[in-house]
Amino acid sequence: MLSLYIHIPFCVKKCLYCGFYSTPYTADSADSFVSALGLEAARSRDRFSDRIFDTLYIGGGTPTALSCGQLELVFRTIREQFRISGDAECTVEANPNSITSEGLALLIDIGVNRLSIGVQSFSEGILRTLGRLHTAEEAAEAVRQARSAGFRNIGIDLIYGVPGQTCSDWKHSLESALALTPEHISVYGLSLDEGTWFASEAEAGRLLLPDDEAVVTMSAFAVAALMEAGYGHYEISNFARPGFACRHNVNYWERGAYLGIGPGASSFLDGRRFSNSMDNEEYCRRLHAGLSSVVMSETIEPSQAAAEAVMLGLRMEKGVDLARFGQEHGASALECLTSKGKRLAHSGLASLSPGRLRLTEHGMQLSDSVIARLTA
Amino acid sequence: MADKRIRNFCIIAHIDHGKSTLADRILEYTGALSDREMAAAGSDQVLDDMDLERERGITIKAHAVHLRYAASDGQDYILNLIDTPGHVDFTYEVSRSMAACEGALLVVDATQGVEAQTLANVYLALDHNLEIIPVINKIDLPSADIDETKKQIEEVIGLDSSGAIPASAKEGKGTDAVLDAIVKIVPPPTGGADAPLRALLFDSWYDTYQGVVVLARVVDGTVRPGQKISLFSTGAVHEVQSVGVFTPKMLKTDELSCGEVGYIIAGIKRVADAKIGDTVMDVDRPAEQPLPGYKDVKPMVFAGLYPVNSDDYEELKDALEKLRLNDSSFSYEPETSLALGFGFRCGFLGLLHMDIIKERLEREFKLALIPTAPTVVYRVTKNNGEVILVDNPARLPSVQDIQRIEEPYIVASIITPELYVGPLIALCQERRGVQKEISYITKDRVLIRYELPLNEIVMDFYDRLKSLTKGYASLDYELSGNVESNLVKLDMLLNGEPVDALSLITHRDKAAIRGRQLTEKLRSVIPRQLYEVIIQAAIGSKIISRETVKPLRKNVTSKCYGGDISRKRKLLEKQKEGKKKMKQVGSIELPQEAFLAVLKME
Repeated sequence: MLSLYIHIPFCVKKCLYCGFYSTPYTADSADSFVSALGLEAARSRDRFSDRIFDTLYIGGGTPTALSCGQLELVFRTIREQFRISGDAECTVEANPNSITSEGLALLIDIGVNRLSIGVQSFSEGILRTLGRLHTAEEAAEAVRQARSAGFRNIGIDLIYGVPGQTCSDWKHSLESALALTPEHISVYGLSLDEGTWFASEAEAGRLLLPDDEAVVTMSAFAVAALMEAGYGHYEISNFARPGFACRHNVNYWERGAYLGIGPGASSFLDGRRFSNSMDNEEYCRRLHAGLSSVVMSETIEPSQAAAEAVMLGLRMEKGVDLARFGQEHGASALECLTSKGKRLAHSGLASLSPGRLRLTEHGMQLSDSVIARLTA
Repeated sequence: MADKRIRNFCIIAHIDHGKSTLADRILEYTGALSDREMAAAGSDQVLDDMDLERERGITIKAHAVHLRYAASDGQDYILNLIDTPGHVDFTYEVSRSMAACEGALLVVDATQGVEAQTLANVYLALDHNLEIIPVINKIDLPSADIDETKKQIEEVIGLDSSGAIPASAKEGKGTDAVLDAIVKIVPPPTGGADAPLRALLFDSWYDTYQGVVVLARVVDGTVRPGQKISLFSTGAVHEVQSVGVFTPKMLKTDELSCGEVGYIIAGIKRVADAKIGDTVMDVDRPAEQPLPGYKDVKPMVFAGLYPVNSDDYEELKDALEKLRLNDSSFSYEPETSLALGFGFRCGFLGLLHMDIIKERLEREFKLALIPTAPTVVYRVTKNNGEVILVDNPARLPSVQDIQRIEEPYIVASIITPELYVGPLIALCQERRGVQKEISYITKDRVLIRYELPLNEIVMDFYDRLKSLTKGYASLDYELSGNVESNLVKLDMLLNGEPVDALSLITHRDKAAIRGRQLTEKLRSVIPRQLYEVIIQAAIGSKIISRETVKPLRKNVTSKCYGGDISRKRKLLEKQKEGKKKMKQVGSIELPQEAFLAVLKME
């Protein structure tokens, strides 16, 4: 598997909980970015001249913050520089407030076949708390529009554990999402990322977060409701109807190769991981000056590779394929993993079915601690 | 006869009353150190040569400096300044240094007055018949009260203070008067120049190049290179390689004769073979009697020291060996704990001594250590009549085998501003103390004497005393003997399993409250884990308190995509480092704080 990720660093407005880098959209900075992206793609093309990308994912930021012309140019550039498989999964992330029928038609036209919509909540109060720019009805309308524009694979993102959120708020959001029959639903527990307004408010004690018990209840409710509705819990935060798991993301968790372009994008190729400058201006400056946009690069050592395989593999329902793990990381790493796995299985956090180590639902809720044990 | 122009003296002072600064001024005034050398030493005091001593403002190792002084009577005198350790744990060492002197400067801070330690050391000096010259220091400070300080010296100590010398060691005021007083008041040494050699060993240390360096005061006779000497307590024979003095630089001399103070190097391999207080004798012409006062010092406080990272065991062993080279007063032997793995049971003279050793291990040898609760030596009589000494709670026989247990008691002398008498009495009562004396030494300072079990003060008594009195009270203590007590072993259980490193011996009346405190403390320091942790305190099979650390409910990274993987893995690696600092006991991960919890009473 080989995946291509394009990072679009613009947002109309930054959400209060979002820890990702983004910069306000202006036509000029977006033009400069699009041309820099072209330069970066051109620098990479030779390395991939004989390889075909199986998935393409355009994320951000808010890709749909770009103008239709700019989006089209991005796509044209990518198709010129890289070979994308004919049956590739091509995802674009979108926000309800930046979805237009014109934009949707364009996306379909240029070959996008999966739309991931950042809905977050169907409760007005929670949307306001999160600093979103759309209403619940606008979110639902965006999903319906996407459907009528021809999207057969639509994903919705939801957040739980938001300050002021009650279990019934959450239930309402889940039910509203299900009513729209998306193929894919991601449910994220709110995390207080460094540098966000939420984090500083929480630090100051001004954020009334739901307690641990409530959060656990919300998470358990989501799992139960979504599974009941026919969605598979294929990764800690991701649910999909059969056949609709996001192939692009699964490739990350299987430690497949990927090329990332755009500010802050990471790549993983031939045992090295490297990433671009986060800062859009610096990213553009470097590329326009004929320099590489890569600012961080590391070789993943064998022990680190094994730790990553456990850390990522156990995020998925199917868990870690032990035979493959042994082949890739050696017999002693395998032995260590299985012996620790056995102990965790004993206490109901993991299961060790023939050939696979996976986390139970309980283990998934505690995956950070469980993984820390398994890789210690 | 000994040389009439020798004066051997030491300086008695409470911590921070200015002993080292005064010593520096004396060195400077007598020209032992040039201004340039003083400047090179910076603001650090010359006699304190270990970082630790400087930081704590105390002097651990005794030194002796040989000074020449042209007195006002036109004669040249030799002054030997013998520095003494300044803490209660080292009383014996102090007493041996004093035995090498004929006089002492008593330095009292004019802003602080007489402290408990001053008092204890003055009594020690009086026991050794030293001439005491009071020096009232820090008169440059605005809050200095010379008259009040004089009054305290008279009333509290009972010394005539009419001749007390006002001084400011910091500004160099009064140094000349101090030196003149030393010459006039301190008597010259006595002793027989022609008598068989007897020299008092009052300090020794290990030098990588020269082996053990012995500091001694020649009481009778003469010692010179080539001479065969022996130490009375060991009987081992050594040949003197060189002798000399510290000026403070090491300076070889032809001999050390009666009354003189200096070093002897005689190919002694271990500090343990050059014990403080021992008598150096001439093998060919042995004296009939050794010098009085020798004691084989035994550790009073024991604690386990374990490496946080079990791979550091060998390093810890090497480090202990190296430290022991220079400090024969602490002991160590291998010990195994179910909870902590391989470590050592170490014996110390007292609490400060323990802190110093632990800090040196951590600082000089970069070792991360977990100490177990310090314990005293219990004398246990078993039902079969056998008497054993127990320095580790884990080795206490089971209740049904014990006929009785005795524990060491001390008498503590505390001098405190009147304001804190209430809290201090409460503290002593709480620690099973029996009041012996309470008296006003001035109108607002009080001397409190309490008889206390040593095991009640080895924990955190000193820290508590200091914090209760904002640092104003001072403490001194001496052993007063063993007393039978109703003692029990308090076990701490985690998920039903006793954790040996957390158990301790305590008085039965205090076991319940101590058990409750400990379970509560452990609950607050043990982080939530994957599993529930049940903490129990038990005496024998009886559970006396219980707490629960609820298991983690949710600990999950919700997003982990292409750009998050490296950061997330690094976080995991960092966590792994953190985990190394945790001790795995069964399936429970215990932070170091859990083991430190038993070191605090409250």
